[in-house]
Parts: sequence; structure tokens; C-alpha cells
Amino acid sequence: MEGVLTGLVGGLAIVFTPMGFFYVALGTILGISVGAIPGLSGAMLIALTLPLTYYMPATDAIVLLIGMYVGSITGGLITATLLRMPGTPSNVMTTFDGYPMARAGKPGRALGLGIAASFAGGIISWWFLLLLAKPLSIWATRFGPFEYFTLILMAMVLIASVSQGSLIKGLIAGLLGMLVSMPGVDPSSGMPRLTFDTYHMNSGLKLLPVLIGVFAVSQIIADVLDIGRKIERVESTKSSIMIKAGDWVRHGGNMLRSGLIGTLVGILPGVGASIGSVIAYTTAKNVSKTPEQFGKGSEEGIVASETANNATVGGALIPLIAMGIPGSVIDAILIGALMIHSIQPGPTLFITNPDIVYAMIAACLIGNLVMLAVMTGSVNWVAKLAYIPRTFMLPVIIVCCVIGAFGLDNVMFDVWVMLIFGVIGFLLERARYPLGPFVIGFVLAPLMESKLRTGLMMTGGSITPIFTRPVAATFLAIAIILLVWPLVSEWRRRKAEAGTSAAG
Amino acid sequence: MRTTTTALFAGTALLAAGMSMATPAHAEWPEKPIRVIVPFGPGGTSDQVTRTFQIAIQENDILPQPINVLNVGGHYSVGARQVMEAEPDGYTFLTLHIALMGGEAGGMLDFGYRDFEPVATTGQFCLTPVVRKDSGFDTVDDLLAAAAAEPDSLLFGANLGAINHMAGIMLQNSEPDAEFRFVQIGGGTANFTALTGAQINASVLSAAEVINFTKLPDGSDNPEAQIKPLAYTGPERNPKLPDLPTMNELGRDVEFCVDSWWFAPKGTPAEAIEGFAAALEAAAQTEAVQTFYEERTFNPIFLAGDALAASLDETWERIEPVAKQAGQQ
Amino acid sequence: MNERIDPRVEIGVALMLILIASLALFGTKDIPPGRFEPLGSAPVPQAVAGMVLLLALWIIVRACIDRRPIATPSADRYLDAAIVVAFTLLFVAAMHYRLTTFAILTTLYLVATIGFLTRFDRKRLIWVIGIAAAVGFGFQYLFTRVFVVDLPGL
Repeated sequence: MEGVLTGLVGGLAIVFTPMGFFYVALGTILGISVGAIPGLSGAMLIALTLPLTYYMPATDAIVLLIGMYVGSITGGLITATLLRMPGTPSNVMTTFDGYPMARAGKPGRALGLGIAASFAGGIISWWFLLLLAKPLSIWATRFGPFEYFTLILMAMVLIASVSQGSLIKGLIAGLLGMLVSMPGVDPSSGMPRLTFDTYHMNSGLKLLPVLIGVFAVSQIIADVLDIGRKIERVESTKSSIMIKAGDWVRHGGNMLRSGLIGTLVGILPGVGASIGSVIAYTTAKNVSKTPEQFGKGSEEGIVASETANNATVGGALIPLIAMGIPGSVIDAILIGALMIHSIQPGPTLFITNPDIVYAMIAACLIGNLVMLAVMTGSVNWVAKLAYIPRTFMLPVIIVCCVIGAFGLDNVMFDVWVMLIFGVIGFLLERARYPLGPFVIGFVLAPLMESKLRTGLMMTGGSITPIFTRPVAATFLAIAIILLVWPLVSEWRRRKAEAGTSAAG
Repeated sequence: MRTTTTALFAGTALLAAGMSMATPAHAEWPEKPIRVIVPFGPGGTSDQVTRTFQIAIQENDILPQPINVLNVGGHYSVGARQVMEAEPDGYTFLTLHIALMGGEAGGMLDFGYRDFEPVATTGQFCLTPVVRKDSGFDTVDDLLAAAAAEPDSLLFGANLGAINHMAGIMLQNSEPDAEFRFVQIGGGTANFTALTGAQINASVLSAAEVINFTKLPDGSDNPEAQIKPLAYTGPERNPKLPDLPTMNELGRDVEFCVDSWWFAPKGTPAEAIEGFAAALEAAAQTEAVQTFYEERTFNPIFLAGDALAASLDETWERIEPVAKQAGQQ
Repeated sequence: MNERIDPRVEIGVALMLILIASLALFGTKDIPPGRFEPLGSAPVPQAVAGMVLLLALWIIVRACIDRRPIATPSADRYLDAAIVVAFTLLFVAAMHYRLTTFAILTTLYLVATIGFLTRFDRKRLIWVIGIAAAVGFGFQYLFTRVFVVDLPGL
């Protein structure tokens, strides 16, 4: 505990240098701005910023990216409330109540509640991050390859089964992501595979070009398709958006509950902010005294959704720091950022790079404080970002994508990869394949395969430890249940439907 | 980075004003900026070596033209091949290390060091075999005796086909009948993690990694570290790890250091190669490079010309059989 | 929620998945078994590709027998998107072959694309050209002088 405190003080000292604070604040503000522009997402911003951080000191780079992470989740609140367009996927639930409330003439109230809830969620999960990351990392050093293999297997099934849309499409997207990660030099043998005799493929299809492709380029193609769509808007308010002390008390229980749900969902590897806000929203509705208000402008609904989606940020950083397993899509990019700076995330990060760890934790706190200040002070101004003409913005973003994909390793091959995955991502979205499992599969598959094969090297070819080691067996059992359960419930639902239609 | 860039421009402007500062023997070369390709992403050891020399050459006006360092990340074969196929005009160079020989001998690459013009060797870092503190092994002899008593049972963490794998093979070859079971773990940090969690029994780390993982900034032992080094594979003891015997002292012919090599495409004019080698040699004497060597526990060796060619051939003879053992056949 | 996707899109995307999976199966057929462990490099990609193949086939079968109403196609501007993608391909190809500097290529690309999206509206054309040049030359300056990232093109 004492180590945690000294570490935190050290981390705060890093972030509170003028440059450190500047980067956190810059990241948070940029994140809020991007979150407030429909069609852009935090994942896109962070993927595009990554190449620019190469020559920054590692701590500055990481705190900048964490600021963006915190900011982008919150910024989406503005467009969700005023335009009924979720700025990021995690703000979908907020539109259900924020927009009706804004149309009913209380946009300031809706935004104020959302901002306060975001801050509460951020702070609740931050405490868990501070207290849990180190003990969990100490526990995780005892994880052997079989534990990691089954943990990742569980994460993959989890993300496929809880992502929106059909289970089959979630599975396909995850498997496709895995497949796409396989070309290149196979770490478990040191030999190339699936390179089709092109030497560029020795490096494989890299995370950043693939990511910029499926998130940014595909989104731009989709945006061009409905560029003419008119945006319904509600004018923001001129009055103060600060909420009163009484509101904190009234919504305190809801905030605490939603914050805990968001944190726990965030900790689960692979499951991000969208799911956290859905679960918290549903729970809030179930326990509410006025569930009929939900969807028509319920204050509780806004609070539940925004608390939970911000709480997932801190929660998702826990497995990233403690185990090197991303808790969400943005965490997957953050892992890439650490690797670029020659930092290997994993259980010994607390020993090898304590400064980075505590700088990340401190940045998460400062990011939330900056977010509160910026959002309270300039929400009306930020809301105007949604009206930048998209005819101008989209082509400029494509140029940024090209720079981002090329700047990583200075080969044009990566730019082509980005374009191809832009088209693939667009097509997948058109056919309603979720992209979350794709990216998580892409990031986790190499780890999963090499852990399995390392385990086999250790045992001389036997996989029995998967069943005999308690932790590994538990993860495996959970994975199987997660995979089978939706199928069973789907089958029961259909049977019930068939029964009622036959009866009717 | 801004300051570096500014320095770069200032340096160039100064030199443009007074070209006489260039080495007279090579007045023709260089006429335009020099490009050095690092076939790894930014931040790695190769990148740091290259950029340290870049800064040293520029800040001390050793060459009249700027040096641009270009990271071609991903697998090192991509960047290496780009240089091999580049125009041999004397303005493209490559920095790489023993992975090039490992890749060729292991069957991974269809080209090798002979397909380049060697320019120089600037510094080297050496390795240390490491085990857990509670392993019961206090010396390399203990470790190898155990590996010989029960072959194929001690788990040795490595990045298969890479430097630490080759070093592990050299280590086991120094004891008759000793045999490790090599498992894919990865680079230095990953092996440190696996050792900490008792997933593996042994591995090798670079001297800098050992110091980073086991010492506190003031030089005392880090109580949280659960690993200990057993020996040092350099030709002489490492001043920062003075208690660590060299493998040669232990009577084992295991000298394994990783040299930083500079290459040019085949057919590059001799004046460019000699000119660049001279610039590197001058840069190696600067404070920037000396400090870097000191911080990263490098041996400050410098080789060029015939000595370099002989050193490369000698390294190849030692590494080829080891890399073949490490590679997949 | 009960509307299904246009079966042409559904089947087309599933066929693309089958193509990718088949490529992977084809590309791994000659990989020898492992030396350090029994699997080697081939089985994992093969298993994943096999699962993609089967699930994609299932999607096709489902799309063929599904009788729910087809989602009404929205008034999308597919031609616009196709032309923007085509411009982008030309832009990247020009950089690949290093036709000219990044700044000039970017300016040309932005004038063409933004101009096209604004239907070359005369009132805005001067703005388009101004912004395109500002971004093209501004980015070149920013990335080569401030951030020191290398740019594609000359």
C-alpha cells in the first residue's frame, strides 16, 4: 500500500510537470472535441496520434493518449444530447434520455447531469485502478502460458457473445481478426508464414494500418454515403450547467452502482464502454421507482449511462497494466503505443517501468479533472464542432490516415494495407458484423497462439494442464458457458415463440 | 526533438558556410544528405545506437551533410532488403546486428552479410545467463550440470531463432550432454517476467537489462527482483557488474556479444564507405557516444576495413552452426 | 430489428470471407510441423480459417432461406463514395511512385475530392483551393519540421 502511495506521488509529479500537464490537458481537450464530432471516435483519434508520439518521451506519449481516452468517452455526451447522434458508440444509451430531455427545453440540465456523472464514473473506477492494478499484477506473474491461453480464449468468447448483433457474426468478426493477424514471421518458430513470397509480408499486417483502415477509413466511406443527411439540432443553453449539491445526493446511489458496474465490465478483457453503459442503464431502469420515464428523458438514465461508460476507462486499464491484456479497443491501441516505446506491458511492468504505470494512473485522474473543468466551461462552444462541414473534413481526415499509416514504419505497403482494410471494414459494417471483436481478435490471437505453443513446448506436447491447473480450468469453463449459453437461450426463445404462434 | 532538429539545421547552415571543415581526403563525398535505415521500429537498441551517432556527427560537424535516420519497422528483413536493393550511390546505409547472420544461417533469409559492403562496427553489448534467486544454481557450472544430468528438462526462455536462443545454444554446447528445453517466451522483459513467475528456469538477458531489472538507480540491489545473473559473455568483466565472472574465466569458450554493424549496398564507392567509417570513428570519440556506451554498458569497440571483414567472417564461422541448430530444419 | 440485410450484401460479404479463409488455407498447406512443439505454424491459422469458412457458409445458407422483409435501402450515395475511394487510390498510387512532393499531391487530392463533394460550387471553390493548399503545405511543414515523421512522396 505504501508503495502504491509513493508511486502515485511520483506519477503525479510526472504529470504535474508543465509538459506532462500540458499533454494530459491537450489529450483530454482533443478527446472531447473528437468525441463531440459525430463520425469520429476516440479510437480513430488515438490511432492517428500514435505515430506523432514516436519521438516524445514515453511518459508524455502515454499520458497524452490516456487524456484522449478519457476525453473522447465524455465528449460524445454532447452530440448524444443535442443532436441524438452518439459521438462514440458508448454514448448510445445517453441519446435515449438526453435528447428527449434537451427537446423538452432542459438541454443544460441534461448536459450538466451527464458531465457530473462522467466525472463520478471516472473517479470511482480510478480508485479501483489505483488499488487493484498492483495486487492483480503480482497475482498475474504466476500465470503460465496455459492460464493466459484460457484467459484470452475466455475474453474472445466474451467479446463475440456480448457485442451487438448476432453471435455468429460476432464470432466470424473475431475469427477474421485472428486470421488477419497470422501472416508474417511466426514468433513460435521464427519462420515466415502466409507471406505469399512477398517480403513485405514478413512484418505481417500491422496493427496500426489495419486499425486506421477498419475504424477511420471505413467510417469515412460510410460518412460520405450519408453526407447529405440533415442534422436535427437542439440549441444548447446559455445558462449555467453546473448541477446542485442536492443532485449529487439524489443521484449518488445510482452513480455508485453504475460506476461499479462500469468498472467491473471494464476489467473484463475485451469488453468496452458500450456494454458497460447498456448494463448500467438496464439495471438503473430495473431498480428505478419510475421506470416508465426511461427513454423519455429520465435523469437516472443519463446518469447511469454516462457514469458507467466513463467508469469503464479506469476499469479497462487494470488488465492492461496488470496483465498486458487489453480491456477495450482503445486499450489495444495503448498496448501498441507502449510497445512502440519499447515498454512491454505485463505483470512486471510495476518493476520494470513503475514511472510509466503511475504516470498512467495519475494521468487518468488528472484527465478526469481537466474533463470536468473543460466540459463545464466550454460545452456550448464544443457543441459547435458538430457543424464543421463534413465535405471539407472527411478528405482531410483521409490525408491524416495516410500519414498515420505511413509514418509508423515508412513503407507504402502499410498504406495499401490501410486502404484495403478500410474497404473490408466498410463492407463488414454494411453487413452488420461488429468491428470490436475483429480488433480484439487481431490483437489477442498472436498472444493466444504463442501462449498455447509455449505451453506445449514446456510440457513436451501435452495440453492436460489446461484441465488440471485450477485457474486455467476455471477460465476454460467460463469460456464454454459463455459460448453455449446464448445458443441455449436463443433456442429456448425460438421454442417459446413457436409455441405462442402455434397457440395463436 | 525540436531542439535536435534546430541543431540539425543550425549545423547544416554553419557547414554550408564553411565546407573546408570536411575531411579533405573525401572532398567529393558527401554532396547530399545521407540516409541511414534502421530496420526496427523507434526506441529499440539499434535505433538508439544509430540516433546517438547521428546526433554526435551533427553536433560536432563531423560531416558537411545531415544524416537522416529512417525507421523501417516490422520484421528486420524488410528494411535490410530495402538497403540491399537501394542505389549504391554512397548515400544509403543500414545498421543491423547478428540477427542478419542468424536469419541467413537459420534459413529465414535468402541473403546475408556478404550481400552488403561492411562499413564499421561501433560498440557491442554482451549477455548474462540468469536464473531465479531461489533456483539453487549459484554458478554456470551448477546450471549446466543440472542440464546435463536431466537433459531436455530445464526450461530456457528465448525468442526462437533470435539472439537469446543462439546464446542459450552456445551455453549448452559448452557442456557435454547438457540440453535445455527451449521455449518461446520473447525478448528481455518477457523472459524476466517468466522467470519472476517461475514459468521458466533460465534465460539470458543483456547486461543493461540485468542492471535495469536487478539494481535500483543508486546501484544497490533491488529487493523486489527475483532473478540473479550467473556470468558474463563478454571478453572481459563488466565494470558495472564486477562480481560476475566471464565465461572464459570459467573455462568455457562462450564469448557472445552483439556488435552494432553498419552496412552499405553492394557496389557503393570506396570513398563513401571509407568516408562514412571515418566519420563514425570520429563520432565514437565524442562525449555523446561515450556517455551512451557507458549508460547502456556497451564495450566501446570500433572496427572498419580489413579488421571488420575478418571479424565478420570469424563471427559467421562461430554463429553459423549455432544458428543452424536454432533454426528450423 | 426484424428486418434482414439485403441478401446481396449478406452473400457478397460472406463470399469475401470465404475467399480470405481459402487464401489462408492455401497459404499454409506446405508448412512443416513444429520442431519445438507438435503444432508448428500451420494448424492454428488452418483451424481459424476453417471456422470462418463454415460460419460464412452458414450465413449464406441462412440468407437464402430467410423470408423476413428486406430492409428498405436508404437513399445512399454509393457513386460518391466510390469516386472518393477512387480518388484516394490514385492519391496513394501517386505517392507510391513518388510522382511529386507530398504537399503538391495532397493539395491536388483535396481540391479534387472536396471540390467533387461540394459539386464544384463556384462560390466555395476558392475556399476549397485555399484550404487544400493550406493543409497540403501545412502538413508537410508540420510533419517534416516539427514532428519529424517521414512523409510519403518525394
